[in-house]
Amino acid sequence: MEKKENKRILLGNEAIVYGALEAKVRFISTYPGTPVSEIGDTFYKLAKDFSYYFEYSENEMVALQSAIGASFANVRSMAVMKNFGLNVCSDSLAPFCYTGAKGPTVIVVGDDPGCFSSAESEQNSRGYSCIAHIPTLEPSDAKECYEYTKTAFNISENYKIPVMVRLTTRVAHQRMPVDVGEINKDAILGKFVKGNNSLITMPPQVLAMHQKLLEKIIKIRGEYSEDSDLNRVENGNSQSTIGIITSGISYSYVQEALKEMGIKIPILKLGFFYPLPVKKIAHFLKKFEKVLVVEELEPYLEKEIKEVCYGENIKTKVFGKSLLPEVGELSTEHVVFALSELAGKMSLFTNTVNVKTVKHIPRFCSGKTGACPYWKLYSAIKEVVPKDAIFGGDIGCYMMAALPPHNLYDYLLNMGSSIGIAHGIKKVSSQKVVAFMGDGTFFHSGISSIINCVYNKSNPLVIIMDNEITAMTGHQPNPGSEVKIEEILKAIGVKNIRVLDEEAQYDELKKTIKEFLNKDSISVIVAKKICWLLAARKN
Amino acid sequence: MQKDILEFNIAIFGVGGQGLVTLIKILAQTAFLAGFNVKTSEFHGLSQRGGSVEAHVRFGRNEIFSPVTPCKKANLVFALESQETLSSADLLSPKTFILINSYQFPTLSESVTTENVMIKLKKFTKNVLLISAACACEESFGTIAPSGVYMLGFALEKNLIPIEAENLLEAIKEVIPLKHQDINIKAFDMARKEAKK
Repeated sequence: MEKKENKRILLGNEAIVYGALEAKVRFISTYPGTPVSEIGDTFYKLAKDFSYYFEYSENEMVALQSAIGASFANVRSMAVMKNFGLNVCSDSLAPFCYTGAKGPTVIVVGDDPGCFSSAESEQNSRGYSCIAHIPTLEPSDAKECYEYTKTAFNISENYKIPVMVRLTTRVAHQRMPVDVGEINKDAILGKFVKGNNSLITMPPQVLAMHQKLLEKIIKIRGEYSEDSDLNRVENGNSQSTIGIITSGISYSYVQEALKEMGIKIPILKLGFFYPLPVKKIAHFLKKFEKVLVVEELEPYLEKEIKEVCYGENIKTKVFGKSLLPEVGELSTEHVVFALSELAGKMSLFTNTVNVKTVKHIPRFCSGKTGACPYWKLYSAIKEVVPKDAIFGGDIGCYMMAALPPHNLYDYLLNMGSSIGIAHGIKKVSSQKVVAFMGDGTFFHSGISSIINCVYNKSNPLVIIMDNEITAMTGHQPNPGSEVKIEEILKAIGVKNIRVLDEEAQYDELKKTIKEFLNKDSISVIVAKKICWLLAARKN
Repeated sequence: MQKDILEFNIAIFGVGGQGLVTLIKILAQTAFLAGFNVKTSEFHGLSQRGGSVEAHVRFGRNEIFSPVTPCKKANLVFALESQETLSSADLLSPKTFILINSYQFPTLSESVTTENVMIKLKKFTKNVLLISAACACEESFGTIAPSGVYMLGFALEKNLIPIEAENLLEAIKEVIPLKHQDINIKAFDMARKEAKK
């Protein structure tokens, strides 16, 4: 029997935390987002027992910028966000790769193939690895989350470059036993060393920095990616004419599929997504007639592997998205299907049993002691706003008003977009527009769009739903505890502002909605009532 | 007997808020205490707000690769909400055992009776058991919250899960917060008695 002393069941997200702690991380910033919210929540929970600094930042841009600052002051840093957060902070990501990291820095990003918890898009964040030239690791299970995080800090330290660890939902929200090592708890004071201009990404030196970054990547490819055990061949002794190249969670499905089929096929398991070990890949490709590339979403690996074939004049046939879906997550069955097709065997794919399922639609909370205040808010809206008005949604619990029984929104895109889009509609039409936004989203990215409505003069009705917490991702605190939304609104020039409790002041709320719909300038109702679930848990 | 388990797959179905993640944590911890390999899969966020949720626990002496139960490989299906059981169809084989909580939560769209759910699923496996976990918990504790742990007690007593009672109890104590432990352990014991009847 194995020793159990240091082994414990960890969620992939928790394993990231333990890996980072073992690598002596001392600064962590995050903006909560599924599937990686529990990384921040675990740091938040453990903070009192350790000597690191942790914060829920106002948004991902500030989170990354703060981590860059801590790194510039020579402290080991980490920034954590979901895929869309990487878009928000991408403006800082690229120049940070140019300056390089002083204190080793790791950026953890969570993609969500299948969009289990993501409106907006089924983003494949691996594209950013190539745009920003950031070395990227892809763990396939919780144990690798722990190990790869430590490795990421090592690479960052050795090459003075930020490193990205890319998770997907099935990795982040997977539990398994992980053997956790010793954690050093010493406090570390940072120091920013003045006196050189290596952190200034201005022309003309920005071009030299670009050149240096590309050289760094070539060096990492040659010295690390080609040699590293993170990129390894398994079942190498098999006489198969087919090989498999895979990474991340897809590796688990490949292993499961081979077990199901009772066959051994050589696998090149890539822990490194960027930069890829091209020599290792070429060497692997040459051994087979056919190679199947198993990866979720867009075929970044497949394309680069085909490029290796072309460059090295390798005749191996490479298959990927011709046999596997590009939309949605993969499964063991998808891999079984693709392998059966390649081997010319009858497909063992047996997914369709043709049972009509009944699905529950997510909805606002309710229980014996009360319900989510949004129920009342949307009932007021339905009662008094004409049906031909345009309703704009945003990201948070209130996006569920897009679903039955409300079926309210006419558009819903990304964090902080409801008001900006409302402004555009208002500028070109005479229709009434009501835009909805939660307190968390207001602080994340909503404020600037209200300033724009004031400055460029449009008059949508904005409902800011202040439930005093970032609820959807698991009740994380936000700046609302320090900063009053109505005071910001006043300061940025909004003339029509009312703060109302949608339950206790229901009639007043309806009256105000009617009145504000006819204002000449932007009007904002702050619907203020604590999240019912949070209140219930507090009691 | 439990040492001979090479692979055991439990798929759990229900709606967000029913405590699926707690069940996953208990089962994973139990398997871990027994020295098995174990992997789980669960969801957080949007799907947790009263929507359909699916979770998996896979354990055994074999190495576990995918955190998700492959098609037709479920040994046990746990349905905390009866209509959600239909989503397990792909995972079923004639050997699968299905344990359904008779509880129903409004779907806000189409619905199906528990009786019809059972008729449909019996085409895949004859081993379909219906229990009134939610009713029993509501009656005894005034809340349906411990329904999942109640179902665990029932499954254990009926020999549907190859784990030891003492490991399961220890896991319950490790996973469930102190203030809710008493009611959950009572629900667990009550279910075991009920299963013996």
